[in-house]
Amino acid sequence: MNSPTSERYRKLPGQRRGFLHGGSLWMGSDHILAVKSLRFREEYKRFYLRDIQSIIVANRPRFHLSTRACGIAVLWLAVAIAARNRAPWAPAVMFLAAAGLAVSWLYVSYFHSCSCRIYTAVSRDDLPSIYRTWTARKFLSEVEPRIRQVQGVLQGNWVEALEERAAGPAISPASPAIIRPAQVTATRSRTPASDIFVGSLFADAALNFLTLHFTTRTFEWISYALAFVEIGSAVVIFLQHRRGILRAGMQRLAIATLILMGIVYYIRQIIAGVAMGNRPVLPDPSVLAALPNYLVLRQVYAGVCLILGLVGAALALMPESDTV
Amino acid sequence: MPLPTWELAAGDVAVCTSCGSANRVRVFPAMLAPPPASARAEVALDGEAACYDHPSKRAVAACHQCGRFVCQLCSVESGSEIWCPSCVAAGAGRAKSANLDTARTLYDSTALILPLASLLLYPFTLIAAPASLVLAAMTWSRPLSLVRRNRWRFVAAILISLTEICLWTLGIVYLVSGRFRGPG
Repeated sequence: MNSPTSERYRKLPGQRRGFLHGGSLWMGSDHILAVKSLRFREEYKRFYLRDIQSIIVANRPRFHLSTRACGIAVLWLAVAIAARNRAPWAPAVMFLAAAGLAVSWLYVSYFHSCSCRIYTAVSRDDLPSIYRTWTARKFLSEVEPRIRQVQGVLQGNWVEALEERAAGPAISPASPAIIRPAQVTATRSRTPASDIFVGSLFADAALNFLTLHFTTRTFEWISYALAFVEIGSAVVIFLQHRRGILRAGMQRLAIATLILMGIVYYIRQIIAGVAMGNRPVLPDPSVLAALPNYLVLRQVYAGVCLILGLVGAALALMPESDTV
Repeated sequence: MPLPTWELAAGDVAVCTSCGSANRVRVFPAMLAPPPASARAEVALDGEAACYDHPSKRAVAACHQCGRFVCQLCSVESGSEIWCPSCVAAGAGRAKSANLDTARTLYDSTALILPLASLLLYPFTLIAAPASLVLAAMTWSRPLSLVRRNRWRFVAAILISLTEICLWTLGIVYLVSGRFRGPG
């Protein structure tokens, strides 16, 4: 069942690249290794060639936004900004390019996507890295000969024989009863940390809306304090999600908020730098408040904070569930 | 979970009779293999070797690592070897084999992300860059991913961290020397 310690793996077609999760498949000497990437951790599952009962590729829409797709979007944005004032036809071309890219993605996601599942006698697992039909074809063409090499080929009237058999583990009515209590984890939709986080988002939005036209140093310090509360509670949310206490949605919200804060921080520094001739760490709030760009930035920030806060409230009010 | 009743004999594509979706189904001989015999350990009779952990069960093999007798239930097969559950749990000998790993922490990715992600709020690089350097130094020799074999992430993390630390040092030196020099 095993192979030497220095097992060399060969990459199989297909890779799922997400911001937080990813997946890939690798061929070992006698097994397929499914790798689930969780950014700072990898989880492995081995499917021994001799045990694989069947592989099923089912055509269905998959609207996955990979990091590669996001990279293309960022590239488009960079080109659009660079070409903005260079030629009168540039905006139209960029718009057509964006529409073309979006339509292509939708077309591929709807008509050329699939899910792939692998069955053994005791398991049935999705292979998330196989989500496009052409990848599935390549994957099957590489894996099938290896499995046939190990297992041989089906002979006789196997279709009839299959009518009496089922792939994957048998489902017994007693199965739910044997689930150990430790396997059942209550996934909560809210914790005190998430409540503080959502509350600070609303407070941040309110503070920015209320002080749009008369920013003072005191309001600036309150804003910094709120930012620290948001960052601190976001870190606690990450830990709670990692420990299986909190749902993934709240963690995603925390990530989106941190990214927003980072972007706004840099834009603010740039605006202040342009207005004051340098880039002070703590720019004069009265000067900043008079800048129209800064006003727009704060309105956008407050609006996005409000939306994130509403999303957070909706996530917190979702009914709690038990997952295995 | 039984396979849905697809038109398996139709050729390459099987259409689901329930939803009409097109599916490619590959069935292998393991599907038709008889179900594995249950791993029920047999009772040891008088004079027969018994399992170390289950004295009433007949031993079927000796652990390749520690030599303890194991019953059918306790035997853990690994290639041509049989291990007892204790040796597997303790990670003895070949039980340390990379082939048993079910998860690994990616220290190299962590070390790389630290100095890069902290750029979003650059004052944090003051903490993140040295932290990344320390992490890279401490975990350099730890096992990497099962499927990635090089350490370029560590090297990149060290280079980026050193650059950030140099920039901070230059900035601090510039500020301090400017203050001592005075406006004139």
